[in-house]
Amino acid sequence: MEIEKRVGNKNIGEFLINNALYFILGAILVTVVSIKPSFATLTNFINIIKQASTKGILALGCAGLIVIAGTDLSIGRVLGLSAAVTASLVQSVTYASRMYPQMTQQINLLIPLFLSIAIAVIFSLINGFGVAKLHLHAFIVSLGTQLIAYGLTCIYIEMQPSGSAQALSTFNDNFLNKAAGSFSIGNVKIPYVMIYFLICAFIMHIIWNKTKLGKDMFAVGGNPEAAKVSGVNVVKTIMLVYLVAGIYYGLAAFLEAARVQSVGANTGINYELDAISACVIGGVSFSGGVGTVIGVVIGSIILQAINYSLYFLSINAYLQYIIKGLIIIIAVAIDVRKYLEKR
Amino acid sequence: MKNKNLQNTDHKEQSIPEGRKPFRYRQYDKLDISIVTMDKIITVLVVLLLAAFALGIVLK
Repeated sequence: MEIEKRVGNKNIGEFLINNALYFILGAILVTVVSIKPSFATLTNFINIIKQASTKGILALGCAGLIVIAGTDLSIGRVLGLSAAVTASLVQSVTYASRMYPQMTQQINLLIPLFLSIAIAVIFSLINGFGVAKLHLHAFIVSLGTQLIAYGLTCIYIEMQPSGSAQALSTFNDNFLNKAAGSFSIGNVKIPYVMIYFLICAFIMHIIWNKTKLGKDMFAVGGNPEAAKVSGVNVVKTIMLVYLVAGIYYGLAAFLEAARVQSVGANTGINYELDAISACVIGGVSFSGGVGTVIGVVIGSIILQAINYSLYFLSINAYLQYIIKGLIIIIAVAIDVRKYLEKR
Repeated sequence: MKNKNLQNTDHKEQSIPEGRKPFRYRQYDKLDISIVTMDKIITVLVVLLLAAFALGIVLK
């Protein structure tokens, strides 16, 4: 009886510690609501999910890379470049300072979408080739592509006929309606981007759990040598994971251009940190081989909820950085503890 | 004879130690820290987080 009670207490204790981050973040949100009850409105909730959506799509792409024990520092800048190309092609034809004055008719939206995805895929595949074939560390190769992408973004934005580096803006209504529009259910406006995020998460869930690529990805992430001797094509798996990530980055860039409605050289700055943080909070282990899609979705929403609530409470901007940094370190510490428990 | 010995050594190094899970947590395998210490670290971090949050509310 005594032993059963102790085992029960131990299990409860471990459950609390393993899910400590969710409890703490939940407590923070409850505190925010109790200080400012106006925070708990449906509009705010939808705003949080809307803002979490594009970064959530980035996080979904990035999560696969973390599962194979890699990372990607180029996400934000690649998003910036893809978003700049998208923005230049969807500017209103009535806007005098548009990037392409010779364009007198709106082009099909699939063209900027595919271009955005193609650019992100090229950068992602360069990272993948460096990691899979050249055995470079993902950190260093993506640092290089990050700088290249940033340089290209600046050059592209300065190519405007005016010669200035002003942000690309004034997009056509068709683009804004489809990428950043919303539909109504009763009195509630649901942004399309939320639906796109859910579809992306569902597709990624299928890839991770129902396909050979998903199984190979977890095997490579857990132990590449063991995966190799088990017959997994490690290079092909890594390249495919980077390819899927690139597609997601391109899509996120397209949607982000519509969301921010003004794309400059600094668009996408530090987005990689948000994407990686969302993955870590969502339980994707940096040691590789561990993670779930639902975890990444929850991680993205929680991270955005915390960002939004800190902003809502007007908490000092410098303290906001400290709080977010501590949340990430706690997430990693809990991940290490989970390993120690299983060892 | 020499070659045979070398082959044996290689084989020994490559084999997976008993009790290890070959498909998981490869990078944490060399961790030398107890759960109790880890719990203390997490507790300190949580206290710091809550303190930073409280400070943020007070100082705004």
